[in-house]
Amino acid sequence: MFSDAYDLFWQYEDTYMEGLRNALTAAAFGLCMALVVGMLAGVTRYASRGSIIGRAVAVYVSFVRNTPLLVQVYFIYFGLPAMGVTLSAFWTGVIALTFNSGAYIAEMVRGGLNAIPRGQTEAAMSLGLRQRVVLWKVLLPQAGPTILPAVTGQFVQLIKDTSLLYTISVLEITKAADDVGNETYQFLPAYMVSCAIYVAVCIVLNLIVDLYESRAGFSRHQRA
Amino acid sequence: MPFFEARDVNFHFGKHHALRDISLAFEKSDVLVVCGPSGSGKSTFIRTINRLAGPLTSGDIKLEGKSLSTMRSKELYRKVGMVFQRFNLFQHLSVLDNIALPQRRALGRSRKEANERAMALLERVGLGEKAAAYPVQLSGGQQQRVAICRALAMDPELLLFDEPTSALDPEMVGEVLQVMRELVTSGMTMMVVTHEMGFARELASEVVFLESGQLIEKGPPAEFFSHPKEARTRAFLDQILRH
Repeated sequence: MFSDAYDLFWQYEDTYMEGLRNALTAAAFGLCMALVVGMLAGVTRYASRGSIIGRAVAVYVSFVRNTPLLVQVYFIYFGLPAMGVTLSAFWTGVIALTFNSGAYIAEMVRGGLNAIPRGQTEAAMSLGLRQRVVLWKVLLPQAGPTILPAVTGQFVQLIKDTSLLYTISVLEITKAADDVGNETYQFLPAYMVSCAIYVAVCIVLNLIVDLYESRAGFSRHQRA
Repeated sequence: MPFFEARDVNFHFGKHHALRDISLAFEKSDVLVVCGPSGSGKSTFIRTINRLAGPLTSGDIKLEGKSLSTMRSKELYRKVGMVFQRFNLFQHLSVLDNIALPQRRALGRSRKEANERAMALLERVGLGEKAAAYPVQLSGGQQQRVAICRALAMDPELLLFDEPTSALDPEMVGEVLQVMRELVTSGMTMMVVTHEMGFARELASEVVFLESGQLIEKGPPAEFFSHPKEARTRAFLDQILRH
């Protein structure tokens, strides 16, 4: 069975590799865009509690956290064309991943900001710093070391989440396996290959995250 | 018109009436020491001055005749500086940047100007060689001296101290008090919440005693310490001076 999978991989290497490439690209674009969305949403949720925009962000975050990703993918896949925006399946998928991860990153950012002692804000305010400066120059640089490892972990999550783009026919790792299975009728070995690819990629990424965390050695940022 | 004037200040934390009809005034270059048991509202009072506690329920606080509650933040924080019990240095910035960043961002000083000012202040408090260090590498006393420099760099007209030595180990209290003593000599206008009765006796122009949010007694230190008028003041002083 394992040798079947091994043979299958080499036979359909191109399909699998394209799937991997698409999955990695979608996850990478998704992460970059989710970072921007999450940062802005998290900061807004921290800084403007109670305002209309703060509440809108809260609704967004709670919508994402309380619905399955697959539902969100469909929501965007059918929702965007309804709003007159037509994009390729790939970019629709990227937007769905961004929409989803952005909310989780927003919570990480908010949590990181909340963890900073109140005295930092009070000192910054009493020195006459404007709220924007307090956020970007005082609070976020200190929240960074606690937020970043969680965000890099989110990238691993994103890679696994790309599997759902299979449902909107993006050729990613799972779709590749399904195509190979359909062609050869060897579904189990075909999916074993995709499984091995996920494991390999995610383990490598997790190792990088661990290495990064131990290297960063946040000594400078530790509190007394 | 007094330099600083609080008139009938009332403040609530939710339902808790934290400050009751507090009125007091002092002049430029005065040093007002506020003392009282914990929970008496002394920190709350000092924090209402620069709006950290929130808006007053009633009453008004004026600096040079201008109401602080309606003053623009920019003007308020330029005139009133604050030193905190727990220093609150920015942990991610070097000592030099802790003092220079607010000057650049709030006063628009150039990097060069801000750094020079920061260095001059650090030399003055004997920490010139610590400019590149980070707060975690400093002792509490050193951190508090840096925090004082950071507040001074903004050239405030009034400097508030919220229990500046209460979080320090006993052996470090002296170095911070020494810096404050020099500030008094230089003519800085200060309002100090503290339990350091030695400092109050030696340097205060007036001592104020608060209890349960009320101003019980005020007077020049000689009178306040040797002939307290109120029974509650006497009880407090007995307790705090016993050890």
